[in-house]
Amino acid sequence: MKKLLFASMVFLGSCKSTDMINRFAKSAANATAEIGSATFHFEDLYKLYNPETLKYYSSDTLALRPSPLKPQKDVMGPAGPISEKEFLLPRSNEYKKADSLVEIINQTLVNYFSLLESVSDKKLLAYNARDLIQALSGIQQNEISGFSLSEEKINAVKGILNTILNEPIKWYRYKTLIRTMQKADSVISRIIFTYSFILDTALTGEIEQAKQNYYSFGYAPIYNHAQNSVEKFYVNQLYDQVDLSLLNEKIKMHKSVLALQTIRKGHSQLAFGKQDSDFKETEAMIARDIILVNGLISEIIQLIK
Amino acid sequence: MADILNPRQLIQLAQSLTRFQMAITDFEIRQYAALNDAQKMELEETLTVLATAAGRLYAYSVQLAFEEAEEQLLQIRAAAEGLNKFLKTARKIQEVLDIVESVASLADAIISHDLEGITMGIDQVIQMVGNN
Repeated sequence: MKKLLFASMVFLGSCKSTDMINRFAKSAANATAEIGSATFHFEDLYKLYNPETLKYYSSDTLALRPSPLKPQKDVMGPAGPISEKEFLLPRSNEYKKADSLVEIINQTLVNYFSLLESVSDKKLLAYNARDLIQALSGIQQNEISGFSLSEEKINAVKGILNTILNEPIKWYRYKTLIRTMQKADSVISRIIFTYSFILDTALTGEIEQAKQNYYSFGYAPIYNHAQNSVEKFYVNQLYDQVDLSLLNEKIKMHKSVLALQTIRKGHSQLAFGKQDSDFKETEAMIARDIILVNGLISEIIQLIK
Repeated sequence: MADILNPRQLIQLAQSLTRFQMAITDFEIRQYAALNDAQKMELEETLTVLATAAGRLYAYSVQLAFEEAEEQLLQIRAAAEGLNKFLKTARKIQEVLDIVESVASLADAIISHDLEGITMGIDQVIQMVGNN
C-alpha cells in the first residue's frame, strides 16, 4: 500500500511539472513587453504627421515660393500668444489618453505573465535532502555501529526524501497554477482580443491616416509647386520613403497581433491540458514572431540612419 | 441603430473620412492649375478638418475598446493578485524548507564534532528564524 502511495506520488509529480508553464510564461511576458516598447504610439504618429506640423514643414520647404498657407510663427490665441511648439501640437490629449490606456492593457498582461513565470519557477520550491542524508551517514559512522547503510541505500533514501517532500509541493503548486490559468483563460482571451483590435485596427488606422496626412499636407503642396520632372521625381521619391517606413510599421503591428494570438492559444492549451507538441509549436511561433519584430525594428533603424 | 457607436463602427467612420481625404487630395493634385487661391484655401481647410476628425476617431476608438474590456482587466488584476499571494506563501514555505536543511546540516556538524560547523550552523538557523 505504501509502495503504491509512493509510486502514485512520483507519477503525479513527474506528470505535473510546471516547466512548460514557466517557459510559456517567460516567452509570453517577454513578447508582450517587446510589443509594448517596439510598436508605434498614437502620440508619436500625431507629433510627426498631424496636419499642422506637415503644413509647417512643407511650407518651409517652399520657403522660396511663398504660400498663403504658411502658418505664422507668432500666433495669437484667446489667452495671448501661442508658442510655436503649442501651435504645432494642438490638442494631443486624446492621443496621450489612448497611449496610456494601451499601456495599461500591456502592463496588465506583462504583470500576469511575469507572476505566472515566478510562481512556476522550479527553483521557487525545492527541498534538497543532501544535508539530512549527510547527517544520517554521520550517525551511522560515529554513533551507531549497528546502523549500517550502503552508499547505494543512502542515495536511495536521499531520492525518496526529495521526492516525498518535493512532489506534494509541486503537485499543490501545479494545481494552483492550473486553477488560476483556467479561471483567467477567457479573460486573457478577451483582453488579447481588445489589444489586438487596438493594434491591428485603431493604431493601423492611425498609421494609414498618418500616410494620408503626409499625402495631403506634405506631398501634395510640394508636388503642386514642383516646376519640372526632376523636382517631381524627388518629391515622389520622398513619398515612397515615408510610405515604406509606415508600411513597415503596419507589418510590425500585424506581426505583434499574430504573436498575441499565439500567446492566447498557448495559454488556453496549457490551462486545459493539451498535448506537449502543441505547446512546442506555440513556443516556436512566439520565438519566430519576436525575431521578426526585432528584425523589422533593425530595418527601420537602418532606414532612419 | 445603437445610441452610441461601438469601437468598430467608429473605426469604419474614421476609415471613410480617411478615404474621403484621399479623394479630395487626388482631386486637388489633378485640378491644381485650374483652382484659384480661395478654392485652394477651402480645400485645405476641408482636408485639415477631415484629417483631424479621422485621427481623433482612431484614438477615441481605443477609449471605447478599453471601456468594453475594463471588467476583464480588473479580473486579470485579481488573478495576478492571487498569484502574488501564492508567490509570497511559496517563499515562506521555501524558508521553512531551508531551515530544515540547515538544521540537518547542524546535526551533521554536531555528530562529527565539527566546532566551526556547529557555530556556522547555529548562526544560519538563528538568521533564518529571525528572517521569518
